[in-house]
Amino acid sequence: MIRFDDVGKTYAPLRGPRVRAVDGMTLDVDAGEVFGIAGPNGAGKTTMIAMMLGFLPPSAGRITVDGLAPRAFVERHGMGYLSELIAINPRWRARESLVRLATLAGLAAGVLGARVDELLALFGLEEHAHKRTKQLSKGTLQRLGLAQSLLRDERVLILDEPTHGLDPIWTQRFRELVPRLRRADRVIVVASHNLDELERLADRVAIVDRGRLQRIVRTRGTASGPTPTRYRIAAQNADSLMAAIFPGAVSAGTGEFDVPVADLAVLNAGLRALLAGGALLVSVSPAYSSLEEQFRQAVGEGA
Amino acid sequence: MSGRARLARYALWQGFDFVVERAAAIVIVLGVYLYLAHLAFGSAPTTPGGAVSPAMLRAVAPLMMKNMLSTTWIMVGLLAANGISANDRTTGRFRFLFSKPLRVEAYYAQAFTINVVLASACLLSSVILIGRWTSAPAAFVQDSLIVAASGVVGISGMCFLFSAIWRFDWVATVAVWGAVNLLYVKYPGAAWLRFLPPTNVVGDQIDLLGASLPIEVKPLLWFVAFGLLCFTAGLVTLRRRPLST
Repeated sequence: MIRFDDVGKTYAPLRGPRVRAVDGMTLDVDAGEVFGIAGPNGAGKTTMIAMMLGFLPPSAGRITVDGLAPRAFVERHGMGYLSELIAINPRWRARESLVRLATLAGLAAGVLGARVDELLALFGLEEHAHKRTKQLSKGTLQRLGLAQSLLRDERVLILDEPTHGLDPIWTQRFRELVPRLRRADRVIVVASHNLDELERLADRVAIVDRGRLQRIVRTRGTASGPTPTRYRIAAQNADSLMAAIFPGAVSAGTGEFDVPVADLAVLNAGLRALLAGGALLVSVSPAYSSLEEQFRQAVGEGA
Repeated sequence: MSGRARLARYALWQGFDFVVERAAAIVIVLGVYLYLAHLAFGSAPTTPGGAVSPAMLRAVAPLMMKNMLSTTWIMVGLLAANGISANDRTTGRFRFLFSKPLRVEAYYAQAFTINVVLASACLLSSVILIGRWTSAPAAFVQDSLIVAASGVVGISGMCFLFSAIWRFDWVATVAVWGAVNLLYVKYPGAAWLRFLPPTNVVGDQIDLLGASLPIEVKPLLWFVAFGLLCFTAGLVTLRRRPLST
């Protein structure tokens, strides 16, 4: 549904060097999919999103959304969009903002008020409904941004850092909401720095760095599947045993070790050997999720 | 629902925005001028009944209209159009607006029309008020209305174009207006002056009003056409330029 075909974007400022924000990017996002975009700061995520919405034209290649140029798609159908920067006129009140944007989105007058109230309730905004947006906290403003992205039943939802500024309760609620938004004819794109969140929500995650697509990681159904390849083991009296039992173990200080293991059988055999050798286990936890692992491999430890 | 119908429903909000964000400044500007004019009445010679003499009123009307219009037409025009698209672009507010099924140029064309109509209404009301106070002849009031409306449409069209290009729209508009006037003073009668934006014509016509002479409509029509040309160029710019930078 969303197709990047060898897309590049170069910024040419009046002063200073040209910046290649996106370079040779080719990818397809299918209908029915929740698609994640991860990358370090300045990787090109925001530029990708701006091009998906038609806010920026690519310098090279072509982007289509359901066969149309992005701007043409937006003008015809609209997109649900949450931007990283929640820029709503500070004078507007929360409910007024939703009414205005719902009017522009084309909600029929008969259902507009009910839909706005439904979203105010869904995002816990009723008590803030008549406050000006400049009076809202970061988290409340973020919820208002999320609410406006869901005003209409859009086929494309693009959420840029959707849980930024949300407290743990609302973060959890958002994570519960996304699966309910999934639909066979809808694409949901989530860009986030939070790899754990992407691993929970997305089917696939594109890892981008320095404007290039480094790899696409399939996460759904595999998040709890393959064994993490590194574990952090905290143990007492284990300093002399660890390297012998787990070749490649690296001390993380204060009795903790990062150990590479091939599979769970190797891990458990190693733990039994540690206990037999007199070590006292304190904790064993996966050192990295598989997405984190892939992310680190793709962008390097310095990211 | 068509895009046009969606925008038409939003027109009320754009009108509301004009009232809240721009009308206050316009009313203050015009109010100050009208108040000063009112004070001038207080010191004018009166008839034995206490009223300002009709002869005095007739004499003072052109001067009063000239004083009021000579600065307010440009201020009202700028207040109507400044930042109209540049503000949304520079603050990032365009993101939520234009993720909705909406054409950028249609949205701002409607906002501009609403702003210019309402701002002109404020200025024209002031012209009518001065006409009433001074019992000015209908033809004089009519001429004043034409000059005021032409000035607002022309200058706001120019400001709209600058707003579509960069954020310092009103500064650029004033700079062009000032530069053109300066060149007309420095090189009077030079042939090449006619290739400049005709921002000087409103001042010329206001001078005619001040001298109780009939205005020339043709230069004013050219200024209105120039303003509408700028407005159209602004719409084309909005259509073509990326919203994000």
